[in-house]
Amino acid sequence: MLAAAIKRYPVVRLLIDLRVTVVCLALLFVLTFLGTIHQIDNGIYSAQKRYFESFFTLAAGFVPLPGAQLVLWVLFVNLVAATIYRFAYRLRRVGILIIHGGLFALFFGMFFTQYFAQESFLSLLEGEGGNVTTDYFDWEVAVWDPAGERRRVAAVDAAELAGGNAVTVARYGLELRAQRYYANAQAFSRAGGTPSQWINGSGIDNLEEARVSPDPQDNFPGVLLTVSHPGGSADVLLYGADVAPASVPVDGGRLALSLRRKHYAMPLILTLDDFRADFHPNSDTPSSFESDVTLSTPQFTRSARISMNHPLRHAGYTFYQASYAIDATGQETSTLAVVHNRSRVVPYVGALVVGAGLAVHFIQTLVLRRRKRSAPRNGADGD
Amino acid sequence: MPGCALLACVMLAAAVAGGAQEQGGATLNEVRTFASGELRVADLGPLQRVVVVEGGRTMPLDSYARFTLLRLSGRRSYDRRPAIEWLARVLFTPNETHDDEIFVVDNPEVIDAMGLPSRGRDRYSLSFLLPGLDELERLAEDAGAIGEDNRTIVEREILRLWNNVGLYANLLSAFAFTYPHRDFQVDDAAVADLLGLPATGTYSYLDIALRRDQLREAATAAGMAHASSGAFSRTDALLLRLGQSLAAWQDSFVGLPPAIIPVGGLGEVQWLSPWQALDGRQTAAAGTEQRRALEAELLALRDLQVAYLEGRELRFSLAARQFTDSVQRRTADRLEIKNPALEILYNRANPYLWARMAYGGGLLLLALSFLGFRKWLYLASLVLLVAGFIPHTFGLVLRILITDRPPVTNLFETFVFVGWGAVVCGLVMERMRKRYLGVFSGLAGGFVFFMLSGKFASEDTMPVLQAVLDTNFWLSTHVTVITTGYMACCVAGLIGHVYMVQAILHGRPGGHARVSDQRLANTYRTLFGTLALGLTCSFIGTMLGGIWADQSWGRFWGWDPKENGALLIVLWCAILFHARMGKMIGPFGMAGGSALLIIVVMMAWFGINLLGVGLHSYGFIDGVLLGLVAYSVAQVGVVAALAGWHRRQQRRGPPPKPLAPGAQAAAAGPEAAAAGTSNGAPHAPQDGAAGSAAGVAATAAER
Repeated sequence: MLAAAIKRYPVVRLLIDLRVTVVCLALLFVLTFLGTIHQIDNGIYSAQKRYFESFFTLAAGFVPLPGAQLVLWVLFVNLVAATIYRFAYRLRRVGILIIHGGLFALFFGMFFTQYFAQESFLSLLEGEGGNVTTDYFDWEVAVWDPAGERRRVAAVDAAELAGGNAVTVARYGLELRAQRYYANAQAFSRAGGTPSQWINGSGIDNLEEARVSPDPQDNFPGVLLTVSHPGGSADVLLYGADVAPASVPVDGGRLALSLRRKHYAMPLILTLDDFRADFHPNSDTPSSFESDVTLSTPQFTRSARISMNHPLRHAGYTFYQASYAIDATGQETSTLAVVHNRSRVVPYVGALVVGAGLAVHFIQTLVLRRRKRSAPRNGADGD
Repeated sequence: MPGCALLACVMLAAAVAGGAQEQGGATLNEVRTFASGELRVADLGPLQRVVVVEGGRTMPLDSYARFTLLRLSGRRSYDRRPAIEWLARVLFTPNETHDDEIFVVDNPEVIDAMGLPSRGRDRYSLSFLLPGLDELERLAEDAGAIGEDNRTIVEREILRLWNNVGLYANLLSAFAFTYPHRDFQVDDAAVADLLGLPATGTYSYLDIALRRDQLREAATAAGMAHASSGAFSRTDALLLRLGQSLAAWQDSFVGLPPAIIPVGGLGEVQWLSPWQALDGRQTAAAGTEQRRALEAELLALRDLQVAYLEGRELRFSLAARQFTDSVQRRTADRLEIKNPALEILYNRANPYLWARMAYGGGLLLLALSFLGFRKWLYLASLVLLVAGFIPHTFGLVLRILITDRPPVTNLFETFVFVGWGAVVCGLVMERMRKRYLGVFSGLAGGFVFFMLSGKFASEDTMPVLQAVLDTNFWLSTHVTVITTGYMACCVAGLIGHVYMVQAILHGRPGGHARVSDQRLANTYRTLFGTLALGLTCSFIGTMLGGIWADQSWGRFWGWDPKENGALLIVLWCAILFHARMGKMIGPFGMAGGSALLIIVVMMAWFGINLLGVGLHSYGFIDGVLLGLVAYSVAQVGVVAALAGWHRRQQRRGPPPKPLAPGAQAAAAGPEAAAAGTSNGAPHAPQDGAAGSAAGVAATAAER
């Protein structure tokens, strides 16, 4: 048999080995512990990148360790191998089998979410609608033609520019190259209106490096760009906190360039009709937040209410009540977290199956033991 | 400056209260005289039942008194008397309480910084602190300017003490509206007549504030008369002065507690303090009938004050009832005020104290039982376990009824609940005829978790919940299951200790007489089952947590510290079971690993909460965290020592086998007896497995 033939290879035998399972679990334990400690000073984002989403890492800066991704993949392969070669498929072990079957679903859910889920947010004033959500962490350089009737935006990942590569924006025939990229920058403008080398929408003509905060949401990047087009090139300064786009002359017109958090378009429009925050009596502790929204797609329109623990789901998108703000004029803004994850049901299934398996196994062993204990008295075989 | 206002509050309260008592004293001498600080009314029951809003929820004044005292002094009673007695004295005879030692100062450096002679960590009185309050205010201002995360422990303590002095000062003046004061002296019969006062004399803020409309009319008329004639009479001057005093008092005192008077319409109920109710602006929207009722309630509060001063029991009781009844009647159609009787019962019964004492006593008897009178002391400790379990359950049920919540909503409650679970677990084990083991783990679990809960007693106020936590479904599923997991893991750890000790005793020459094979096997089986329960509950709880997170934030798993903590428990259990299955560890290794599991559980349970705050605020030296670290080190040391001992024993060779009949059944070792629970894997002979187990336990201990 093929399975038996493959088993001859030492690598395969190693993969099946229960010791690998134990070592991987122990490594995961150590990584989880280190990652948790790391969060105290460096924030959750840094811990995720360093310990949980990496394949290799250096603990405490000098001890090389496999990252959680690698450990999880090895565990996954180990689980697959165990399923094929190691598990005893017997009725009295059905609980164990269910548990490990559920683990498959959990692994799939984890990998899918890791590689395909998209998290962003949508802030809406009361009465406002939107179909574009904003990323929490990642930035992009967006290019569009301000003269056009419909704004057609082409965007380039800021991370690609940060590497120093030239990136082409095919739609507008541009080539962008970063002379300098700041992960977090402070912007300055020279007094007196002296003409600057840099093109910028708000008159910024100098960027300085700022300390990079462990919470990426606190960082505002900046980039000094060379924008080349068939008719020549221009020096452009873009800053993340700058709302006004830079207007760059190209042959036959101007293009707008802006450094902004990544935008994602949704195939629907969400309008905030009303927002309410309730508080416990005589206190600042909120008891509930609610957003009444209208969800419109080309086919139909419906209204819905989003509150804490009660998100709105539609076509792979889920909208959660995240936060709110009330400005000086009493205008309310509701911020919704938007998650696009088509595999969100998978971990539910996994959790349910594993939980059921654990319960089955636990009850089964209790029953078996009882039967076993009473066996000598009844003179029957307990097993 | 807030500080000056605060000092002024303290002084004014003292002055007005003094004045009031002098005045009251004249009529009171015939009745009775009281020593300073003496409680003047014995039955404070009707006062206890007054409903107050604090921290976002309604509670009886009895609880308010306990929580306030807990905040100030770290205790729920003063001088071994109920907190409500202390509160009554503070509210009604404030100047007699300045020497009460109620300000707990955990860090004596604060007292040094105030320029006062420190007595170390102790409770101090207001009169002791008074000379240093100016300095404390300056220190608090500076400390307040520092970001919350960067404050040192002393700076935090300064702010805490300053806020507590402020709260106390506010309480001292809370009933000042009832005291006659020279600011409201009416020595002109015409003014008395205009305002509808019975005669000239010294009146209280209450008297004048209730005649606000008449005062305004009279003052306007006087102003017009003045404009036409140019003359400014003594009456006009008095009216003007009264108006000014009224406004000044209103501004100074309107923020004072307690919020006991609900006003407003459906869904928009506001709870006002008497001062706010007396401020015309806050009750402007109320209808005539409601205002009349409000007026009657305020007058009832004055009656309450006077009756207390005069020590008239009946009048005091009537005034309190009149107040509560009127509030009930007035709001019956709009507001459902929870009956405070349950909470008062809970406060009075103090069930957790009884439970803790019973468990402590039981543990002591169980320890003594190893010295002699074995059977009787064992029985007595079993009785105490049950005796503690009854009030423990009673307390849990009462709290569920009071808060309309599942039993666990904050850290304090997790300890109480886990302790309760450990007791249930112990009782079940004992029922399954494992002598001592269940009683021991029940008593130890119950007692230790109550002791730990004491460290988090400041959360013991049944507070309201943030919006995201405000869901009984997830609180009753996720939180209950995960805390049951904590409980099972901790009990498994306790049994792990028992097993290690038993295994060592068993291995000694003649050890079979003390610990039979059967007993060792029983212990291991119980350990295995409890650990399995721990893994099951921890896993299901963690996954439910993931689902909750997915429902509220849109992600199932985010490597958040609390999630990681739960994962660590699951992983540790999984490591133990897989290692046991692969024969990498034996029963002794399982026991050692379970003992170490307690550290993991403590880390996940509250260690992570402490770490989160810790490093930024030098809170790292906080008592609890230090205790946790010390405990972890000690725990690792104990397991390593036991493992080392056991290993040496194994090297010397197997213990002599007992010659008792029925030994054959037991000779297969505990492992065979436990086969049903250990995944049915084939088992090595006991001794060989245990030998390697000790090694793994030792390495685990090093880790």
